[in-house]
Amino acid sequence: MVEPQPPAPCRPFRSHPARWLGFAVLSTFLLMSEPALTAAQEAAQQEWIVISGGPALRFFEHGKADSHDKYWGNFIRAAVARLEQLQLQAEGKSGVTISWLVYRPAYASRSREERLDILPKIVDQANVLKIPLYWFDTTEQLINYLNAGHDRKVMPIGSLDYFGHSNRACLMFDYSTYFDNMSKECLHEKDLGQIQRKAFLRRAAVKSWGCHSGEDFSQWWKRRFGVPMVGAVGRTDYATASLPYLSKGAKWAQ
Amino acid sequence: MIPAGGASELSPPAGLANGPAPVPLGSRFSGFLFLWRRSLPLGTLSFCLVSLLPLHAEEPPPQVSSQPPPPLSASPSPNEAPAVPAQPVRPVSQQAPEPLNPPPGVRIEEFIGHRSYDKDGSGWGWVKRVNEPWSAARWVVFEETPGGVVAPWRLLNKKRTADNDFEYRLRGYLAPFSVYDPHTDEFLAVFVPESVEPMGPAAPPPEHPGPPPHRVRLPDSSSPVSVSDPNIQPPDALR
Repeated sequence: MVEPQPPAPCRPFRSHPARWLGFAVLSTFLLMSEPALTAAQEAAQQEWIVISGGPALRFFEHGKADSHDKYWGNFIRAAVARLEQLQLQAEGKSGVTISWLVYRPAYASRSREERLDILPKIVDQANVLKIPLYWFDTTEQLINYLNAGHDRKVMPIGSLDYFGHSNRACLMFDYSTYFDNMSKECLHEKDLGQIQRKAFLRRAAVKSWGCHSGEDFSQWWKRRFGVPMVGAVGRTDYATASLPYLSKGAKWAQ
Repeated sequence: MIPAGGASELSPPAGLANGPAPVPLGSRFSGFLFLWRRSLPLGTLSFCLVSLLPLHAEEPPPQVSSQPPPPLSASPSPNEAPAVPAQPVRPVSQQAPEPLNPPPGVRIEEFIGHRSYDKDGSGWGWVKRVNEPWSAARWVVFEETPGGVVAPWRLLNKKRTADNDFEYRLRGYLAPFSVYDPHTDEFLAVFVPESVEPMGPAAPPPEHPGPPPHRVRLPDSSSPVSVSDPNIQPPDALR
């Protein structure tokens, strides 16, 4: 049993002008800022976005010891698995719009290489899920969508998932698609300033499922948006044709 | 579970299938039978000697050959059917199947290119206009088109070092965009070729004795750069 402690002697209240001033300023600030925060945190509408980068060309990757993207659909199958999860989470919640953004040129190139009509297969996946599919061809188009795909004051981004190639400093929507071992369309951490802060909810859930994002990109993201991005320290593996898992020795960080 | 190539379970082991056929005992002991008929002690002695020989005595024991391996030749001997098409030993000329269509404001010009293999990144080499000094050369990425013009080393022995320090007369243009090299965290200029004409091996330009130094970022201790492509090594600063 803990013996009840005698109450501490009350100090007589003494008015102090500096304290009163500080209290008044703080109260005013909270009164002014709280409605805005509440509105942002409890937006009536929000958008949950899944982004799929594109696969490499076998022309460039064939024969390499660490050959990427033997299967063209790694980033599609993983995104579909995530979209299904999001649909379950959104059940019963009003005002949630789920969108799927796919980097088209890489799949068009791979289609030509494999002589396989890949784009309709991706459209079919979106139709089955009844989710709007948006193709993007450049990084600029993606940034435009994040900033203004919807009125972000009304419908901010509440969730963002990225599936694709990446390193510690960059999300690469193509890799070995146009240039061997290189990327033409990518989002570098130094370019995050092109995305508006207000595009995201303050409690948005953001995750990169690519390799190495948690080593540096996540920190830049947090500094820019104030919203953490979960990313891998190490590599991720898409071999299961579902959500990728961490390779040996890797871990998630934010 | 059916193994890949399940038919191999029904096939004889490779060593038995491909090894020399066992010698019939009749031929193996025919000489000893002849001696035994003439002289019993001599026949018995020869029987013992023959019995001590290994069953596959005709199979030569494995030896370390003192001969050097046969040289990699582009022209195999006429008796050998080439399993793989012979690779040229010199870079070959290339021409785009269709004329290039450069973006507005960009025109196709003549360039000289010096191939300089970069073990740390994916740049191709130095490129300058014909009438420019090497000091004006730019470090570029070589745009390749499957079925069109590709990096010359692909048409050699498929090793990236195959045409190191080789010079080319190039026709094409410098693209108005750059591409990202994830191994060095740099954006590089792009050369779009319309034709490639090999000139020959050449010493590196004094102004550019090799690839440019890379602007690698300082790594933190918990995140070493992971590079598993044997052709690409992380920069010295990250090793």
